[in-house]
Amino acid sequence: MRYLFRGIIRENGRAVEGHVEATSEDDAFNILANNGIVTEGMRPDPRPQAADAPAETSGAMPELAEAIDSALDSSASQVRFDDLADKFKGKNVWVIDREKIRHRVAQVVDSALQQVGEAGAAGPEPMKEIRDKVAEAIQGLFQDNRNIASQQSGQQVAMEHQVQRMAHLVRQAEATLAAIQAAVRTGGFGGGGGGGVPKRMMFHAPDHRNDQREVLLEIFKANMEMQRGIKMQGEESPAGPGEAAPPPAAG
Amino acid sequence: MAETSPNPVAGKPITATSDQDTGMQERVLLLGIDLGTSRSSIVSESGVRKTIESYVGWPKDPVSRKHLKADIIYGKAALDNRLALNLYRPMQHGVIKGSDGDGSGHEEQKKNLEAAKMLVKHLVDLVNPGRDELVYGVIGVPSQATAKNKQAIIDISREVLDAVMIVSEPFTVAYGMERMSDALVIDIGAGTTDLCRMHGTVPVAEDEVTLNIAGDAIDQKLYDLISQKYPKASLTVNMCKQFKELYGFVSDTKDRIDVMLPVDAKPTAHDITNELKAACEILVQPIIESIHKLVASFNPEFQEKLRHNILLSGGGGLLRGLNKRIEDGLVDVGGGNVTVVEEPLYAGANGALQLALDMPSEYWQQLR
Repeated sequence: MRYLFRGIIRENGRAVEGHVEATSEDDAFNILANNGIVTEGMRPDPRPQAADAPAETSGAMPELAEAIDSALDSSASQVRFDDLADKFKGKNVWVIDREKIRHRVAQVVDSALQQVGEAGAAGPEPMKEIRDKVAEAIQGLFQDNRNIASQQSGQQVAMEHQVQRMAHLVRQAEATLAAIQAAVRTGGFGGGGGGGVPKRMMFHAPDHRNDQREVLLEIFKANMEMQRGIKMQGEESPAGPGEAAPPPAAG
Repeated sequence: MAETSPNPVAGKPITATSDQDTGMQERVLLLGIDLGTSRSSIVSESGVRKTIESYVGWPKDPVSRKHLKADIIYGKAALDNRLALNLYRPMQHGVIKGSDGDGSGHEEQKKNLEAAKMLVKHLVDLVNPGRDELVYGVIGVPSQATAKNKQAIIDISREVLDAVMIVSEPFTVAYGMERMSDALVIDIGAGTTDLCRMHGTVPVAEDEVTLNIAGDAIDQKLYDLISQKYPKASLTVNMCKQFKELYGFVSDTKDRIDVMLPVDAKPTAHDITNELKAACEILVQPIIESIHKLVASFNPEFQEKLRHNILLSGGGGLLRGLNKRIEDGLVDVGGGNVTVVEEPLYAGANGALQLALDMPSEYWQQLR
């Protein structure tokens, strides 16, 4: 089990936060104490499923990748996605990409070490030079957000397009289904074939949809007549009552 | 199969709009509109619904236009700024003022038509139709609106909507509630109270009664009664309308209703309990008599069912205790059940939208 801890380093009093792997909470306290950390708080923090296989992208530095994961986990907090969606609706956003961070940090550290290794064999203080070089490389890495984040807009647009297509498809399917149902109701199917259906089955209970259709037809006819009358009246006398004057703007 | 155009014009080919292949798919937004004397409501199939006070105002002069920062003001904002506006309440008794040619001047009639058109336009704008969307609407009108009234409403609506149908208001309520058979709808608006019995078909003139006693009549009565009791109090009909909407009742309540009215510019509490009840009660008896009339002339086998299936809608449906008072009034003629619909203010517009949705698209095409 992985535990998230917060504490201070016994020697210099500096605050520290991170993860520790242990079989129980007591074990975790013991491990931290043995490593010179005074624990102030601890809680179980199981590894997220997506981060279960970091080794592949972080190449030959699995321990480094784990440390990066731990740092990311302890510095992240959960927020409601709906709130974010409301806040950034319609905008392009950059999303912190854990995979990218893990990959880039490992890459940067690796190349820094390689550079120092090539040039530093003759140097007087190889260790200090290594640390400086790595620090400089990491700083450079985090200076540009594009190194650690991915823009989501393009993907989002593609997703929205897909959703729209799906919605269109569903609408079409619904319309087809409605047409089939209407055809079945009106006896549109089964017209031929030599009487596969017994006659007694061909009697239906009165369908109230037909009543509704008649009512709608009647309303339509009444409106049609009325509007036809208006049109004819309009053609006879150009100055009909519908031709309203411009608004009474000033009193 | 091609349908012929309903209105052939000499020299033009006969085609139906539905047969004209423009190569594009038309998007349509359906609307239900309740164009009321006091308030107008609109419900869109996209789910947006709005209600505004049926007032339209144009700034009186350049100064007021500069102050109001608009060329036209609608709804409550218009009422609140009425001193700076030429204010129009274009609807009267549920129809456009003067559309019957009832004595109001020609100029006044034209202004009311323009105000009504702008009101419909504003309502449609409120539901934000898409730029490429056709807008089709069903509009509720009082059950006994004359042909001229209906014609005026169609005229102004056709300038805003791509296709329009008008339907009797109580019918839209019944349709929306799916109570098309053996039901009696009472729709109490500001200008008219409409009663309509439903028997599974489109109601005819004999199925409908329109009373001119409605919300506005209550406001006026309340104004008269309060002015009579408290002659020193300053009062307007609009204030009475607000009191009615806040406290209107016809039940036997014991709660005292005190309102603040200015006396010599000093706000003073006045008890209007009895006046408010007396004003609201002017609705009860005419409604009971009209129900009786509609029930008595109905098929005797279904009268009992009709009396027990009465729906109360419109702003008047919000008067506390009105359904109970009508039920009490029906005891002498065999009793009845009166139900206040779920959303009295939107029942008409909801039903109109339902009608618009159920209407086959080819009907709409022909009305364009």
